Amino acid sequence: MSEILTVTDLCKSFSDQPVVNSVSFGVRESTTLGIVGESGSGKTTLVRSILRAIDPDSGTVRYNSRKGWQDLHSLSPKELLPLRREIQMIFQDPFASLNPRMTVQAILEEPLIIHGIGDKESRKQRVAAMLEKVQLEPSSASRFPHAFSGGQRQRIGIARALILEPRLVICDESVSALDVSVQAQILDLLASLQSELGLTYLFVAHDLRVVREFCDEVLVMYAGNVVEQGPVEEVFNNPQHDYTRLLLSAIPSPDPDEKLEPLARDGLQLEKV
Amino acid sequence: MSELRELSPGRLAWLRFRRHRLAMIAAGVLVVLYLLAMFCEFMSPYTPQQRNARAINAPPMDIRFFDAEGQFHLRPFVYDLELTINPDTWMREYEENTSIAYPIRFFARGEPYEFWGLFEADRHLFSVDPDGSGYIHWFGTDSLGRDMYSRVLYGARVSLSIGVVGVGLTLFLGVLLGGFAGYLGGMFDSAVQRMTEVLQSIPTLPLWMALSAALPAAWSPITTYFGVTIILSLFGWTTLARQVRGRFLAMREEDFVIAARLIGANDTRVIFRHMLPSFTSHIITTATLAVPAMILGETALSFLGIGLRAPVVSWGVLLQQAQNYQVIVMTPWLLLPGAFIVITVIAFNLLGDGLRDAADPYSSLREQ
Amino acid sequence: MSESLLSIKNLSVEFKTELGKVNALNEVSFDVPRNSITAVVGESGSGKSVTSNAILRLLPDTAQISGEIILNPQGEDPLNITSLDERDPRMQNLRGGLVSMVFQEPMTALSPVHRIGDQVAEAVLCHRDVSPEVAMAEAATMLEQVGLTEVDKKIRMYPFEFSGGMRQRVVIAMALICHPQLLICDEPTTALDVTIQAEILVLIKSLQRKLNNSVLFITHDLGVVAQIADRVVVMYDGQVMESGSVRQVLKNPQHPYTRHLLASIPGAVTDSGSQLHAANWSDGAPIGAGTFLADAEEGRQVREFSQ
Repeated sequence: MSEILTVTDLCKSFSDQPVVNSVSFGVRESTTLGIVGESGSGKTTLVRSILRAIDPDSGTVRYNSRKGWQDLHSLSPKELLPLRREIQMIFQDPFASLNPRMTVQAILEEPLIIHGIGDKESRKQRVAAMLEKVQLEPSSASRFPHAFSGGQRQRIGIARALILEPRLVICDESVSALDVSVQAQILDLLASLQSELGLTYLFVAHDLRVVREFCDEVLVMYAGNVVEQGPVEEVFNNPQHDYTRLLLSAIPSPDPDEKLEPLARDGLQLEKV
Repeated sequence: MSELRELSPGRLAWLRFRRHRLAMIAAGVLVVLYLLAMFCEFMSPYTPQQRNARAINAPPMDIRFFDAEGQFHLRPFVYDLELTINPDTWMREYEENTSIAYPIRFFARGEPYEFWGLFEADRHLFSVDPDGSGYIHWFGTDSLGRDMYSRVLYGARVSLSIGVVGVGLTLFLGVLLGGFAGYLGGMFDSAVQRMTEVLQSIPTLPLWMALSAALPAAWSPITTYFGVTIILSLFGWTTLARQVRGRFLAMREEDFVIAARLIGANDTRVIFRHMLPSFTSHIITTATLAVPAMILGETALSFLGIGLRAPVVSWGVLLQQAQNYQVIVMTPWLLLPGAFIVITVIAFNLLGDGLRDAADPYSSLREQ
Repeated sequence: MSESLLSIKNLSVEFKTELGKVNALNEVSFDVPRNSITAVVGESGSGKSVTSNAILRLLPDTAQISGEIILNPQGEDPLNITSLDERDPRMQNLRGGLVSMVFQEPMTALSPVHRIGDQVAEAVLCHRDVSPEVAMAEAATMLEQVGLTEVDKKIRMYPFEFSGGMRQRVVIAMALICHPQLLICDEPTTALDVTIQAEILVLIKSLQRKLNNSVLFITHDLGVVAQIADRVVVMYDGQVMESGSVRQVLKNPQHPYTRHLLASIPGAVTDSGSQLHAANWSDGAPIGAGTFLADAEEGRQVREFSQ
């Protein structure tokens, strides 16, 4: 399978403090790459600069669009617009990411209007079809976001991201604000949409259990650096870096017989990265 | 619960507003005041310049249902006033003459007026015998025998509208400058910020005075009116501009605004479809709270004699007559316009409070 | 003494809202035994926070409470918390004395303008008649116990100079300094990174063993429950679904909701049956239940929302 995104030597500092330090990786089409790390590890900055919400100091982000490879940071806003259709994002907070003053119909229709897709009638049909895809009632379209639960709102967020038929979807902690049972449903939905539509996910998370279950490959970040990357099973079963070992040792197991014995942070040589 | 979830944002705000009893009352009071001001020609029994030589500095007349013999009359009436000059003090003193009663007639003909400059009419909401023999002054009269009630209503038109027009202008300037400052940032932002600081550091009253003094005395009343409004708004926009700028900056980082940007929405769309609607409620609240300041500003200027001038009637102009202690002692009813100012200002503040609480219908609806 | 430290009997809580009553708790009964950690686990809106707030009488005036919450402190007379008057001197003894609480957000529990040492010592001075020097010495000992190093330097620092994990340690020290018989922890690790969470969990457990008090631990994470608790109470929609020892409930869940929760943990071994449960259980839940709850909660949300 070919790569859809390659990031090379990406660096970004805020007031001389490196937040993302020479990060390189690639994502293969129709797979899921997990990016894990604790708060302050630079994963949000990394993702935002892929989306061009932040301009990196150096490095390149190359995306393999339907029309071939393109360097995202050398494009003008006008040239970027068609790529917006291909790269979409699902946010963390299902409350903050939907405009409370728009109905679900208006929220889902907006991307279509902006990109000049279809007429009023066909847009309505597309919204209805999309709602069905994310398993929401067709009657949801006329309601406002506050009428929905957290999980339902996240489904609306997913519908908005997918209605433009993107190829690469960035999930920025998209399930971490949800209850565990709702989380399981949303992950199921994301997985079934991936196999149906051939989506590629860039999945940012701090919960290693979710990453282990959901991702194909994983990138472990610590203090702006990638400390380890590889297929999920390989990294989780045979971690090479001390930090990955620390993270894994800190997961509380639901089995009371597997005692939680986190490694001592001081004993690890984390400063060397 | 489920009922609550089906409501539109507007309905939700209304639900929350309705819980504010004081704000509801204030809204009612303001509606009445504005209706009175809008239709003041019809609502008042006289025109503001009409003089009654038989009642100079007359006290408010009591509207009665029972006559001196204690008999009930369905139609309310007032007694004639009899003028006596006190031989010791040479003061005019009025006493009710219970032998002459003037019954109040509703929708009676009276002094002709031009309604909103559209058509001639002579009907008034209430009046006494239109042949000119009787009179009714239930707020009293001033030193020229002009009916205070009519003058307060005509004054309300000027004073209340100057608040709204002034705030409209303030909003325009504030949202425009604040919005651009927040959105463009950089040089323009700094310029607007510094300008705001300078304007806010100047004491307002002397500045108003200086600018008002610069208004040519030859201007017509209507031009002066707009001149004063512009002066008031010129200094009122700074607070609003700061708020708008702050909210613009905060809202640029909101998830749903970023989401709109990521689906490819351009700046105009992001601003007008996502950002502005999210704080219109706050703008309305701020505007409501700014109206009293405008009204007080006009009053202050006119009271000092540098705002509107007679023959224009505004509450401030009316209060000019009440500038000495003699008035307070002898003819306290000339202070009535002041009571109207107090009521209006309090009502606007209460309404603003209620609106502020209702402005964000989602604050108690977020779950976690 | 055989009876439990805390026993909740048929506790029901209703909130009056503008559109009628919302039932937050429905006939909840469970016990917190002495010298042990009891976890209350449930998703948002399950009523777990309402329960813990009811124990400290932190519910707003719109709440109508029925049922009993009996506290049996060692060496003192039993206390029925629900019938206690707000001005009763025993209230002061209850809050911060017999029972104290650790909240989710360590930053809001600490005053940003006071030094760490002063804040911990303050808690001592509030409840006992000792000199400030003694209080400060006790504060330093307690901070050492919660795992802070170089304590004499740190008591002179301010909260913003601390990391999230260290702040939560300070909050725990403040909660424990008056030797409460019951410590309530309301999602104390939810806001923390996973490595810090593990450290705090180990700390809470070891302190409980050392101080021989009881802990009521509110959480939504069954992994955390398995690692910290001796007993567990599973709540859903204001009701207790299942309770028992951790081993018994997690290894051999009786109630379908518990099985569903276990199956939802990412990485859990799922069979197709539990997936079906997933569909049955959550989206139809009265998710709004959390909405009109405690004023504190609402206040926090309002703050979050308005700026």
